[in-house]
Amino acid sequence: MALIELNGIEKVYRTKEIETTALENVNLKVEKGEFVSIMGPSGCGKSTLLNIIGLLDKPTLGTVSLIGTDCSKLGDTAMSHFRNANIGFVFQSFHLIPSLNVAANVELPLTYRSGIGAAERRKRVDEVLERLGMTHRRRHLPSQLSGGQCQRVAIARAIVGRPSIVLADEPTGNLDSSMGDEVMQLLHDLNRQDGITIVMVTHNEAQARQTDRIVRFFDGRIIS
Amino acid sequence: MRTQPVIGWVTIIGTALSIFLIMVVVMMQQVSILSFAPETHRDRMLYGMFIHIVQPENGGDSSSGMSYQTAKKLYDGLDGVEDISYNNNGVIPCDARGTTDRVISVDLHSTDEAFWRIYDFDLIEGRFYDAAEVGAGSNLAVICESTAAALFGGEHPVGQHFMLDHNDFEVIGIVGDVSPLASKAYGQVFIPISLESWDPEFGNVIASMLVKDGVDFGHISEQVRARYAEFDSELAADGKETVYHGSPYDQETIAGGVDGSNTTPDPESGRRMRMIIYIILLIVPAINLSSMLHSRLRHRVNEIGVERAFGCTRRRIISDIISESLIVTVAGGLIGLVAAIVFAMCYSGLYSDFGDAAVSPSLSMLLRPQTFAYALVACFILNIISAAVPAWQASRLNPVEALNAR
Ligand SMILES: Nc1ncnc2c1ncn2[C@@H]1O[C@H](COP(=O)(O)OP(=O)(O)OP(=O)(O)O)[C@@H](O)[C@H]1O
Ligand SMILES: [Mg+2]
Repeated sequence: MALIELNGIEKVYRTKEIETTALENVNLKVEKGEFVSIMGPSGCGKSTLLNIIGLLDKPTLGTVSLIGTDCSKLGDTAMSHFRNANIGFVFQSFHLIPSLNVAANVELPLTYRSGIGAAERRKRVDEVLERLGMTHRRRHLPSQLSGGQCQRVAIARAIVGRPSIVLADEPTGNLDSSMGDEVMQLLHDLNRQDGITIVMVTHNEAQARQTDRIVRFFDGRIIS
Repeated sequence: MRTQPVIGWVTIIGTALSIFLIMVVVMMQQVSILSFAPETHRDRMLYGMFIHIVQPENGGDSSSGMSYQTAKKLYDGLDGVEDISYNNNGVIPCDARGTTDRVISVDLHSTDEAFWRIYDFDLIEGRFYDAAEVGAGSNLAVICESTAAALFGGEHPVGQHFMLDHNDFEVIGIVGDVSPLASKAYGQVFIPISLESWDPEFGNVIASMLVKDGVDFGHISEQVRARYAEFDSELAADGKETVYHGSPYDQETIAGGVDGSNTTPDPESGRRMRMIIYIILLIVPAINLSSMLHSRLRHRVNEIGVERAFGCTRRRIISDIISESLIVTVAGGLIGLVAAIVFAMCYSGLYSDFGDAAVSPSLSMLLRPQTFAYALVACFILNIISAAVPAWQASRLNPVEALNAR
């Protein structure tokens, strides 16, 4: 069984007047350890798909199964726990919490996990910061960091809980090309060294080509 | 507070103000019911104060304080009462002149010897008068420290004589000053009570009873009602009967105000009134705090989205917001409580109910566990009503929308 399995996903946004079909009959399988890029024009439903895989949003129709669990049936609390244990997110605009320093931002997912003490949390935070070369910035606030450094902190936060899946929505979208390359290098390391399964949305053809597989979207449907 | 320190301070001050107002009301109430020396057993005290007698045939209706005889008839030897004192209701201002030759006005309280047992006076020197001396109507006096200083200057007061409204009295004991807030034990000069009265039924005597530990007040009231019935059968010969007004009264009833000898005090309505005041004092600031918290959270919608993405449950969002707001409420509450205590001690006008003297409670009357407990409870209630709705709304945010919010 694939690590990520979407069957017959349909997502319809209904506002008072208009109905937008963001996704239509999407079937997708991602194997364990794969690094998949999702490409397609703006508004074709890439973020919507990623949010559904990440259990942040529910499909109108269809089933989502992750790591052998049928997640369509989980309640809100169970979904929260599932996200916490298995999924890491990296966003285009970093989404660090501005009032928390680097270490506290990275620690965030661990604070929602039971049975992990302060000492162990600190150890894990130190480990990932070391790995991402951000140890010397651990007391800095996000506003005191460059975009590339922010994204590294965000990646540290995404992996500190040792998830099996990392979902990245245009992780290099707000970065210049050299910082973008650095971030891509980090994601490839995570994929190769830790076997983390990565699904990444990107507009960058060159970055997409470095990944195992490209899924192309158009108008809510997979075209290849 | 994580992102909006300025609003945090406004919130703290708003809370402080609210707790301040509540605590001023609470402390006024506390001073009137909680025990402090010499009224050390207010929770066990019952007072028989008045008698109301009517003559249905000719429409006669008299009510006043009791004579010693009436008080004894109604209250003496009740089961469950540890000790009973007959003393005058309140104090009478008198002129006193001692060796300093200065005439000063003193508050005179006439009592029996049991008075010294049921109240906890601080005897600095000398002794109290005994039953024989009260029976003999001896001209002996126990006076309080500051009065002794005023009457005799630096001289040793015990054994000295002074004039009290043209009668000569000998000082046999000196007690520490009593706060007029202890309205039933208060006095500056204490002398043996005269047991005669101008009327067989009426006078100015009250029965102050110290009930045995653990005895229900209802048990005492029942016996008093029976005594009223007995008294009625005595009075029947003269075509008179008593009107019962719920006597004897406990400290809360006394504090609520016993309006007259011919009315039944209603501590329940006072309690209701206080509840309404507390509710208003809590609800109004809570609405304010709630909208402040709400606007504070609007700036944090993104954060909430991030927290939800990384596995924060709805319940955790709620408890985080409530505990964060609790820190603010407790900080504000502490400031408000300190302000209220300082205010109560400095602004004696609050307690003008207690005779002419403007009196302020002492710090020890105000600083007690109950005060903190009430303040804490008020903080919790304030916190819950102000934070519950914003916290619940925050927890219902859709994570995707929260993440994308601008
Ligand atoms: N909350 C919403 N309500 C209504 N329509 C929405 C909502 N979110 C997304 N849509 C619509 O769904 C479609 C897919 O949006 P989505 O954000 O998934 O696109 P995308 O492929 O990520 O685009 P981009 O490359 O610009 O990020 C769009 O037409 C969008 O307008
Ligand atoms: Mg998108």
